[in-house]
Amino acid sequence: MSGAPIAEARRARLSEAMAEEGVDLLLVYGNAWQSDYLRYATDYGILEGEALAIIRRDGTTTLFLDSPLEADRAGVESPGVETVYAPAMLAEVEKALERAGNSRIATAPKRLMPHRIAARAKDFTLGDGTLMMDRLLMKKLDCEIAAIRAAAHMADEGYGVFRKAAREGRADYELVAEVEAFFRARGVDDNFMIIGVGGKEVRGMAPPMGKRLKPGDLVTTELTPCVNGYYIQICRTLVMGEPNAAQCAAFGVYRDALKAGVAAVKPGVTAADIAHAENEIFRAHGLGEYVTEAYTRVRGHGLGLFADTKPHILENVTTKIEENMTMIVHPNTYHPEVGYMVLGDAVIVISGGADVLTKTPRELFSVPAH
Amino acid sequence: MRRGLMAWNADEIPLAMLETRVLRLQDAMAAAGQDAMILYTNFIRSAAVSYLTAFSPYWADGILLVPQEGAPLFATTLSKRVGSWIQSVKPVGDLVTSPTPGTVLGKKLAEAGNIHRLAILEHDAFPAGLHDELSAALPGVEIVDGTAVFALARQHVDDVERRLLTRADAIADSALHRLQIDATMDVGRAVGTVEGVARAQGAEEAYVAIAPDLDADRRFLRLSGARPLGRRFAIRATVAYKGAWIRRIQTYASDDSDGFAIARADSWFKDFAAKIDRNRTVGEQISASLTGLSGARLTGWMAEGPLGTRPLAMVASSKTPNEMTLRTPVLVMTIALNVDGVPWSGAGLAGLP
Repeated sequence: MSGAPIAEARRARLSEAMAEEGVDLLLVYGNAWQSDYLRYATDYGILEGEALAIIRRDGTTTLFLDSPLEADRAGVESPGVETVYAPAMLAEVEKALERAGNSRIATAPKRLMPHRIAARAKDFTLGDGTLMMDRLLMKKLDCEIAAIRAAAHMADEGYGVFRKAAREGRADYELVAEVEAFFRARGVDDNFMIIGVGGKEVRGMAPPMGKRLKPGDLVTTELTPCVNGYYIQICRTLVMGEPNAAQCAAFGVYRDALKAGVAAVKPGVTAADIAHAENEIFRAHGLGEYVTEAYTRVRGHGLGLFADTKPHILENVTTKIEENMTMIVHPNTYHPEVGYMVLGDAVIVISGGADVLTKTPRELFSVPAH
Repeated sequence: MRRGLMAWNADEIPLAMLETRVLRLQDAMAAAGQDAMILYTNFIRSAAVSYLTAFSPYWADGILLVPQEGAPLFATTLSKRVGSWIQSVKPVGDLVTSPTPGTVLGKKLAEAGNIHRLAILEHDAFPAGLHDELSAALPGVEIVDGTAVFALARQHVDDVERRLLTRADAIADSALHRLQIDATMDVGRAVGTVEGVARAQGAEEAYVAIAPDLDADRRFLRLSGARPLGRRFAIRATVAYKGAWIRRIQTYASDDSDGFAIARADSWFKDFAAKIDRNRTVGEQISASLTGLSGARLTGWMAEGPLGTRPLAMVASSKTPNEMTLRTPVLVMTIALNVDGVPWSGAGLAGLP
């Protein structure tokens, strides 16, 4: 269950933003994948089904849920909003919008709004409120920063569980199971987690596929526990057995790139500046090809109520970095001599630069193997 | 986010069976005059695409194009790098990765030149961004709702689905029965144990919810941490295995004296679920069956099953007792009772054809 004071602070900030933008009523969509807009407005972490919420400028909010199980839970977990179980959710929301008369209505996120609602954009004069909410999601309130800071240890502890679970002969999904059992027992709402097991043939991470750990394997993971709605991420690599010289040498590049990326984080720079700092390290080692989209998706990304929020840390993203943004810097990519390696730390942008949240040493960990 | 075992195994889900499912949909489309169908998927609305291709995204979303003839084509916002992984767990059809999958598939259809009527499964709920992309690429093409046609093709439960459901059910049952109640057990340890056991047995997904004190509140929540358990509590495990979804609920009691009532209710539920008749309304069957369970009072029920893109959608409940459940091919029942004053909840697969 989430902390009501944060929910109230977010709602007040959203009301201010709506007033500034001249929005009377905001319609927000959410599901368990794209849950951040909904969570910001309603403080509800949806798991099954889909939801729409109507937020009025005075902060009063109606949450429509199409799953009876979710409606049951929301009634308990989100006491500050009116919860409606709506099996015919789209029709009910449509009626509510009709009743809103000449209100100025915005929607977010626009691309996921159900077609039935979006098709009536002209009738309802629907505007796009996505950017307005994106700004709120990126630059956190002080109370949100405090919550993220307090939850960061969970990523380190989760990785500790992962390391202990990594044993020769175990299947990748069994490692995930141990981490999940730990997280679930400790109040973690959700977790974004992918894994890679193997050598040079591994080009990235994915959900577990049933691979069994064997000597010499690189085992990579991106762990992203969610505490009270906020995601914290850590990326680390371990070797089954003693790392060889090539693995150690390769890891040094990632460690230097992460250091350079974190050092570049400060208010006023752009996301591109951070990516550039990371990528220059790879280029200096003749690995420039491996920082292109053929081998890596992003060099980090925002964190918050979504595990992969804006800004994406890429050399063509010009988003200005501001104080109270949270992000992960991760120069994860393929290395031609050893395979896919990952290393990343979550940071808060503070006035002087980056405050690194995750405390696990930046080591290429080793797990005994025969 | 989906983070359990995601792997395609030809012995478990033979390619020929997936192709048969696609052909059945194509036949239904032809009969309805639909030239192609678009099916949306993300990890919440994964059921339709998973049924046809064995694939569901762990993240992001995508759309499957099923032409009236030929192989399906899947387009996703997942990055190109993930393409080889997707193809290793999605044996049916080709793949394109793009930030604008609707545009890519729309252009493919436009190039084909023979598409006059395009169906979209659950047209009303289809994401607006993808809809805009498709309609911009297909001027003059009639876009209709494909929900009824898909439902017609989805009515059949084959041996593969039956086996996967049975496996998902066994995983949930085993996870719920692994729990050893003792004085030190709290909410966090209880739900963590169930989730860990389910995932260690290969669950693709495990949602664990708890009603920690049935005497105070029968609602299931995503609680955790060092909270105390009541004298009577229940855990719901919603488990997916290779695209097959079920729910199970187990009621627990710390007092031995409650155990007899719970065991009687468990036994009644098992018997009821095995004998359920899909051609009759569920409400009347529960009422009739409960006459055989002395001291029992019904407090609520719900029938769910895969429907369109939803792996578990409610099709009838104690609030709509006269609804028929035939529109879903598989039935998962949830029932709440009081038996001799002991609150009891149960859920499980029912009447698997």
